[in-house]
Amino acid sequence: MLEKSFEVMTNFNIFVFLIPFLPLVASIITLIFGKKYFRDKSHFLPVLALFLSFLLSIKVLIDVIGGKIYNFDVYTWIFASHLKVGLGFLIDPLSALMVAMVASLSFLIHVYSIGYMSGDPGYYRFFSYISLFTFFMFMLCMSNNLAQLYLGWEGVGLCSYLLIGFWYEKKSAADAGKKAFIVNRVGDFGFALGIFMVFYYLGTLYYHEIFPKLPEISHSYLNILGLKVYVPFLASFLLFCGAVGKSAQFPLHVWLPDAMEGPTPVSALIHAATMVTAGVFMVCRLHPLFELSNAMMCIVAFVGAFTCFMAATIAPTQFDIKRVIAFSTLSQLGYMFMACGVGAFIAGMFHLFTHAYFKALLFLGAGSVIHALHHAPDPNDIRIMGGLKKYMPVTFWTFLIASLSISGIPGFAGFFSKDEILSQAYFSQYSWGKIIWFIGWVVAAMTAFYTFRVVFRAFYGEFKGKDVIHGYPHESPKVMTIPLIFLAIGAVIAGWIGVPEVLGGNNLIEKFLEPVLGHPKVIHEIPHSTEYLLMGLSVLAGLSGIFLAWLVYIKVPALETVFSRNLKLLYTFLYRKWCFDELYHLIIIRPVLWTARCIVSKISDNFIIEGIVNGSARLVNIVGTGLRYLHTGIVNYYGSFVLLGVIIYIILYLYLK
Amino acid sequence: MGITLNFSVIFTEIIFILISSLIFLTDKFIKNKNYSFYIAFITLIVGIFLALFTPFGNFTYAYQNDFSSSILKLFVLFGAILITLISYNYLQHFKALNYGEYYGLILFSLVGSFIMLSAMDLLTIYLGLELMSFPVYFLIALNYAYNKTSLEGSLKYFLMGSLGSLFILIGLGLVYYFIGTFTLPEISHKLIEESINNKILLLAFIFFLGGFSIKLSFVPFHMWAPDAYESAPVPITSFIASIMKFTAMATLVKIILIGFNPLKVQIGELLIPIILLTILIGNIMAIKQDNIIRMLAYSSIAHAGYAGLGLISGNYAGYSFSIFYMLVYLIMTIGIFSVLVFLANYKKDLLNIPNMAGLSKNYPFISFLILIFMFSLAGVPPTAGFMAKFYVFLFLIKAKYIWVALLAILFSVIGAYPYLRVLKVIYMDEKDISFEYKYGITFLIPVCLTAFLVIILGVYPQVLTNIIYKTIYLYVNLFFYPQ
Repeated sequence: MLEKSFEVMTNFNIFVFLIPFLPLVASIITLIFGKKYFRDKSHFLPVLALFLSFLLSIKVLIDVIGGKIYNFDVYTWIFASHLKVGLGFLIDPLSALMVAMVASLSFLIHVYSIGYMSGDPGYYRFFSYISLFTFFMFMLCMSNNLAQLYLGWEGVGLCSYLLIGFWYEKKSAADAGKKAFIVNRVGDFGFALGIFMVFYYLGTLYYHEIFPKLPEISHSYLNILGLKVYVPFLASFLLFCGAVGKSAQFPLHVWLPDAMEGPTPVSALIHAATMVTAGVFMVCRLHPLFELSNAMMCIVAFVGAFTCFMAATIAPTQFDIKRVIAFSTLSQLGYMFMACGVGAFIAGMFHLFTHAYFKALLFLGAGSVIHALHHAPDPNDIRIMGGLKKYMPVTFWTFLIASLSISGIPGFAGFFSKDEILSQAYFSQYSWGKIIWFIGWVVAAMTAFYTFRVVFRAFYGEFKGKDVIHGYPHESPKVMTIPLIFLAIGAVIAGWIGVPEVLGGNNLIEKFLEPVLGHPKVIHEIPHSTEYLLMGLSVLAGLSGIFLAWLVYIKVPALETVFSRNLKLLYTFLYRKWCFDELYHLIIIRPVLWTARCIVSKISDNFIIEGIVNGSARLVNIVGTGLRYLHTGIVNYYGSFVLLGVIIYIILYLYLK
Repeated sequence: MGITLNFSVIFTEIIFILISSLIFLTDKFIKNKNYSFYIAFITLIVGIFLALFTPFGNFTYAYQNDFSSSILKLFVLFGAILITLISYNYLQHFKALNYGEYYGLILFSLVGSFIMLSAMDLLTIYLGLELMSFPVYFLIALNYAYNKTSLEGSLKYFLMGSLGSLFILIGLGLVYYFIGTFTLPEISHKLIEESINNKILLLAFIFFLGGFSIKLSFVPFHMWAPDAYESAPVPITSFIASIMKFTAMATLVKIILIGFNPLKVQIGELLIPIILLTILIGNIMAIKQDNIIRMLAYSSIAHAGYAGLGLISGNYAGYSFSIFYMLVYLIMTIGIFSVLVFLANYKKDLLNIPNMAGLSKNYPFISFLILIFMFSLAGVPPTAGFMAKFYVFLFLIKAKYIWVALLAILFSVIGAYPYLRVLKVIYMDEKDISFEYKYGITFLIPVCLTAFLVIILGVYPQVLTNIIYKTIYLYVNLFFYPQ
């Protein structure tokens, strides 16, 4: 399909190559020389590198729009019969869009960090890590094979770990880093197995070889303990495990809220816009494999839907501004998986694209607020905020735009992408489409509610934190507000590339991505009246959410505690994030620790492993002593041993045929 | 067969012999002992050009300069240049060794190595082997000024070496008795024509192999190695471990591929137990050593075993990756020994592993270098050591010796211990060490170059593996077995 409408460039292209490697070089140089020489100028190289990468990514995007596709290998690292592992780039509409998104956001967030991180003792470390992260993210998006995707996948995980635990002196930050890493390990284990399985059945790791070969396995079954398992189902399931871990979906979502311990630019870049969407990207990239199995699509859809709903119920109960936004990220990621699960991959990618801008904007706005309140003991707490509209106008207006966008108010980016998902879910060929639509519709109202809860509590009313910060907050420096303004522009216009046809648009993004992601799986005849009705319903949902938030937090503040007082149990359940942390503590951590302490440490460690280790050490000792006994230093023995060696050769010779 | 005396073919060797003789003759009369370093160094640099531009051809039927031998000589010269640099560095602190003979003997030994690489008959190979070994016996004994046991080590090495020569000569005699020729291509032709003699010729080859096993220190021919390594001056230890083993392995590959090609599968099977034993014993014995040089001596035994795995596989790729392995080992060894020379120069007792505790705190650069080389020796990606092991194992598996490969991999797990132990001591143990030091250029060039190569070859080995593989393949196919 690709080859028909595109010109495929298979030669090495320096522009494509430089996009990831400029940030890498900047990162390495900053890491080595930052501490001693650059110090507070450490941002210079990474920002420059990201700016160049951004320009290059725009150039490449224009090339792709002009009908070119890059698919070339830079070099092969391991070449062993049909196992070929190497460095290669595939730039098609999907990855070009992703790369442009990552580059633009990463650049803006780099600039923002100059202000946000200034004065931090780990300034150079921060910039080095974050541009290393950008490198790995590019590698992930641009790779043309699964092995390199995995490299990027693990690399972003590593950088995420480093950056969550950036303030490692704080125990909670170090723990959150570890938690993110360990939870991701569970998913990545499945992901690696999935890659092995793809390689085992298809004999290749390259996308352009995988897809034509897929029909070969479309009828193959695997026998596991008497159960017949459909091979594409198992392979995509294992790959999806990785996506669940990286994109923080149920049941591996627990790490993302804790990851908010990292600096806010990190939350914006890694835990909202780019890394956590890698799972969606991967599912879209491998969509032909997922589409082979209806059961898998169903799982994808319902994992997304469940996470979407769950996160939307938790978010209104949280008081940490970043956690609220983190749960909203979970919820929006759920939307993307819902889209994938009903076969609307384009809508999923579209929502990924718009979400990146408005969610990064929300985070950076929150970061700006936190920066202003950083003298407070807990600057993240929305209970000490209020009335910030007056003190921080730029932050307020940009935050408001992002909130309107996420709530799905017409004209803003979030409206178009969310509406695309909901309408395609409703018209989906898959039977679960209507259920998904309903969940998505309900969550849309909840999203508007909890987002505007933050807006109203933080920016309206009276400032409540006079005592804790001894004075009034003031607007952040220009270096932080200007990226906010740019992102706000993005949060509005990013959706205009996908104006649906019923609204008189021509849905550019669908035409752009269709060669890669295929036509959405919807029924053929879509009545326009129903489409208008759905659109109206989702706008209504958003507006009612905002209205409810206005009612509760501005108009009748007494209503605020009604819920928590009257339904205490439910409230606590939600406040504790559905008790997943406690549950995992109970069913995984405690038993694991118990097993570790009582069984592994006592029996296996002390007895078996130590037995083996000590035993082998003792064996080695005995052998060594024995050999040393032979190794007397007396040259006669040496001679005898040489003779022995020759005799061994001769004995073998006699037995040889 | 007409005999041609084409002196331009052996020009490099003539130059080397003349220069080293010159060093021997004039050394007595010149006060500044560093001059011989400069002469030797310039000679080696010139040697590279000579190796590149010497015309290909034969000098009598016994000696052939061709693209394979030129490339191998280039590798040897590369190693020799680095070793000369670290020798200079070492001799500045160990003045009693700083005489012209030191460099002269190295050059002589290199001539031996060149002769082995270019030789086309078994007798010349034998002569080259002796010429390569004898100067090294002296070089070990030179260290008597600092280490009284060096005479003992040298003598042991000499005795074992002469035992090896004995076996090689027996093998030679048998070959000549059965076939009536020494030249490698003719042996192979005879083997193809008269297949009855094959089994007996294999016996003759066994004696040959016995001799080479001593030089390559296969177990149980290895007993001399730790003694000799420990008692030699540190740069000479690296010379024995790198260049001599590289030459011996390359020559053995040449003998098998050109001379005994029809027997290569049987030879591979013969080697299996010895090679496995070599890897196992080398790794186990390395665990117990406290002296890092002794540890590296046993590790060198094990590494020769890994390289030998390529001989088992019995195909061209396997053979060329044996050579690749030895080349990577040459680079790693010279690298780690350069660091050891540095340590020996400034604080000799650091050569004992427990004394290295806490080195990383005050000397991060040195520790990092040790880290790179140790990872490479242990075979951790992305270092050259990993790639070298990977390819050797790969072609072993392709040749259907999966169980051999599995055992070797298992043994290499044991083999990771001694290297990681060094790192553990350096990075995790707490102790204060401080000594005065300065990084000289003769230290920085070898370590940076080798560390760079170790990393680059781990990430991008294609260029070098292609060169070696294609050279071996074309060499054998074009010259000797045209299809």
